[in-house]
Amino acid sequence: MNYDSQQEGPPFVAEIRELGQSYQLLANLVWYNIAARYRRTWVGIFWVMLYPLLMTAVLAVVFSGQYNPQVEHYIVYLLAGLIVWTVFSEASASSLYALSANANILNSIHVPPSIFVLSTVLSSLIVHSFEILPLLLIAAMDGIPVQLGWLLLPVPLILTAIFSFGIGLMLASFVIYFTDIVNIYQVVLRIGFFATPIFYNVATNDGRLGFILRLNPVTYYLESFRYVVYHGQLRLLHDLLPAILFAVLSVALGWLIFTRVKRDFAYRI
Amino acid sequence: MTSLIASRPGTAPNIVADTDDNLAVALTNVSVYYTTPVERVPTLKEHILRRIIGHRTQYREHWALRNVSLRVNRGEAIGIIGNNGAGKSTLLKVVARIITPRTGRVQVRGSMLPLLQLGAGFNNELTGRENIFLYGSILGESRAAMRARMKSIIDFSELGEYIDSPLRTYSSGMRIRLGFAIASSLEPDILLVDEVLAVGDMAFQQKCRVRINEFRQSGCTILFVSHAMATIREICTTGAWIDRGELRLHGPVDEVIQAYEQQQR
Ligand SMILES: Nc1ncnc2c1ncn2[C@@H]1O[C@H](COP(=O)(O)OP(=O)(O)O)[C@@H](O)[C@H]1O
Ligand SMILES: [Mg+2]
Repeated sequence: MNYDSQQEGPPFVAEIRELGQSYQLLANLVWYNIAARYRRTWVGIFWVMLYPLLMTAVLAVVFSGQYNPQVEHYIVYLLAGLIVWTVFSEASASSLYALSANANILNSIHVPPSIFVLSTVLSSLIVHSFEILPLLLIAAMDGIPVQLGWLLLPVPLILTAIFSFGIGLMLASFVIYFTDIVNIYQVVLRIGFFATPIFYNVATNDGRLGFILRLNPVTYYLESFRYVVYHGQLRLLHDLLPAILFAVLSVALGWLIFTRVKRDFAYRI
Repeated sequence: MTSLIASRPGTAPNIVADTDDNLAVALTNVSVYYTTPVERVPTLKEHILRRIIGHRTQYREHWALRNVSLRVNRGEAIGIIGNNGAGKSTLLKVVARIITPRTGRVQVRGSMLPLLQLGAGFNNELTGRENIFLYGSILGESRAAMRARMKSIIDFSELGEYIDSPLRTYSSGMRIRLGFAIASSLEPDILLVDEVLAVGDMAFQQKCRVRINEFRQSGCTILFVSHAMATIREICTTGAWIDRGELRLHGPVDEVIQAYEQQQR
């Protein structure tokens, strides 16, 4: 309750403490954000599910003809990849607006600004988690055995969200200074779509493309998620460990940058 | 507890000693400047291009507060006056921890309710009732606490059955009534008010003044920014006149208002 501007402590730590104290606000921001988005159209949430299905259908038609990815259950492969990619791209890209969309709050009440990035990422995670249902339905119809191991599916998805949170923190910080980050990031995501093994197979790609795919952190989240869908298991060394490592690294770096510049937010938005 | 006894207009307030015990808000040599780019909107592209041709983006420092020192005791109601752009809102933002001063020190003792903008964070798609929970949590209140006050908030807002309609169907007056009803249901030690009462109809403004007077009677410290001198006289015991970022005068409310009005002529 007491505040002294000279005894704030390092912002890196202070922000963690304040965010931890604001869990009720976080829950409300996430819940009401989702409720507000899908309230008016009850079918809204089905649209969310429909989008990757349609996208998958398009990709399947385009690629299964002339391009042989040498993957079993290619439809499942595509859909699983798209779901993870959508969580990452939507969560990170909407972080660009997390602060400006809440400028009126940030300009009139003291709240830890990171809460808006986190609530944005969590909303994306929760909404797109619903896509697991059609995915598993299709997987089962396509002959992948229904298995208890599917309960592990949230693990790679949550890791994706953590990784996206770190990227989101960096983006939210940069966009305060340079508004064209929005356009630049759009291009980055377009390129990223093709530099991520959404429709190609990492295992059969050596050479330059394979190298790029293995360098791309998002690859490991896709790989891990798919393996759970296919085999109901997590592979520690092959993809889980890199996924955890990139997630930790991204949040650490994002937090460092974000808390370093957070004093500037209220002066600039 | 020592507290300032409300004074009738025209009489000087009882000034209490500035002890460490009764401190509510203290600013010590606080300065704030905003930086605005002199040239166009800041983009990374331009920034890099400028760097390449060896030209850095120029920023202008715009000083909103200069070396302001101000102490507000517990239970004091201070009216902050000054021309547009003088720095009144910036001063409240510094106290509310919305901006960290560039130099100087800010101390605040006790829980604070900043009313700088009513209903910041309202969501148009949600009902009034849902917004009570949302806005409540933005102000730092739990769901349970808001649920307990739900009825009195709805009564105060006079929204009746509209409380379960989405906010996008509300008039601006209804939004403000709801915002004030929610915020004023809290029981802060320190209340910051920035011209929010200037909106809404006369009946509502009157109701707000009554509510703020109740806050003051319960011992709440109030920092009150307004252009309505009559309201300031009614609510406040002391006054502070901010002039182009500097604290020009601080003292009994009537003296400060008089000096300010004299200078206006
Ligand atoms: N976010 C901002 N960026 C740049 N300048 C600002 C910003 N906010 C306020 N200012 C400037 O600071 C000065 C003080 O503003 P303010 O505190 O809002 O004054 P008041 O509330 O007394 O009208 C004004 O000259 C205003 O233009
Ligand atoms: Mg103002």
